[in-house]
Amino acid sequence: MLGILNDRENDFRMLLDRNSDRWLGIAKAYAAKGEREDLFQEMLMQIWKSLARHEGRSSLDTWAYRVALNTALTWKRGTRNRHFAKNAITFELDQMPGDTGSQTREAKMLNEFLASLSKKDRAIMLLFLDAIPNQEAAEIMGITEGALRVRLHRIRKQFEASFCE
Amino acid sequence: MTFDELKESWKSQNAGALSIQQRETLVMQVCRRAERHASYIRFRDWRETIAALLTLGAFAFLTLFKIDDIVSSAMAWLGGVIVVIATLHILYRYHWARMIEGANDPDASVRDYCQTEVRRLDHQIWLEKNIVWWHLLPLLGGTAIWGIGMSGIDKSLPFYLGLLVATGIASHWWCQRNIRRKLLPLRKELLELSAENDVPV
Repeated sequence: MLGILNDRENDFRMLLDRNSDRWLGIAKAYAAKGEREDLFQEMLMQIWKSLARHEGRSSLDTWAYRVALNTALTWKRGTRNRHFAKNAITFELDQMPGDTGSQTREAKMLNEFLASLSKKDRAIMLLFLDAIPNQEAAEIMGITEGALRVRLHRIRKQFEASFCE
Repeated sequence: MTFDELKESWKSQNAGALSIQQRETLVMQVCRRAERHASYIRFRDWRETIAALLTLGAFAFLTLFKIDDIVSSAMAWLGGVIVVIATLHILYRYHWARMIEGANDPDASVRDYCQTEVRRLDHQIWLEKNIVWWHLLPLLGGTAIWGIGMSGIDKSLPFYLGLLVATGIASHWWCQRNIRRKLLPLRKELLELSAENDVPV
């Protein structure tokens, strides 16, 4: 039993090392400033809880990305009950990425653009930004690769219309 | 700045946001929080099961062993039986919702995940919308019949029935409020998420 838990802890540690930047990016894209830590914590909890159920159909990183994205998409602000609030993880993260006042022009533009997209388009955009291959991204979203390309093309047009004129 | 250059900007924004030490602290905290959460769920399940079993035991005992004359106390006997059956049914419903229906598969695609969430939510909405029929009426109705059968019609009866009706109204109001405020908006949002996938390309 202890061995299984240690394995899970090691897998989790490895995942966090490799993917924390991506997960923080997802939290940033789906939660308002000040609520990002809550969402990030929720994502970590879901990944930890679900690790035992990973069946190896996809790589651990892709699997964790999917869990993080599903958690973010269905996460509701301020729904943590008192029990969760009491046991909340506290970590010394002074500022989430993108919270700094001195954002570059590009970063500001990108964050504005992400905020203007619908939840699902934002997910597709995040997959693009995180350089997830199209086939994997389509699988994560549950749509065909062709449909994903078309949506991405529309997002590209939307970006160009808003920021490249 | 071109669309493809956004990747680099995104990468540099998020790179190295957590130090090694912070990550290590997070691992420890997540493990501890998960343990606490699991024990909280266990405690909640036990608490609810014990409450139901106590109700079940008490009414079964009173009905089977304390009513000597079934003919003259037919009403109390009937009430007791209704409460016992209602409690078993409620236990089964909770068990069904938690154990058999189970949690959503976090590894599902976004589309499947949203659709499963909508189905689960629909079930929850149905349960709360119809709480009068499967929970309140059998349980409180059975208790009311049992009470009347046990003590007959006396001065305390209006108070007893009033208390049961007030409990029923408050529970019903609470559930309908929960549907309006939490479940329906969440359902709408999930449906919108699922529908976005169905836009013809």
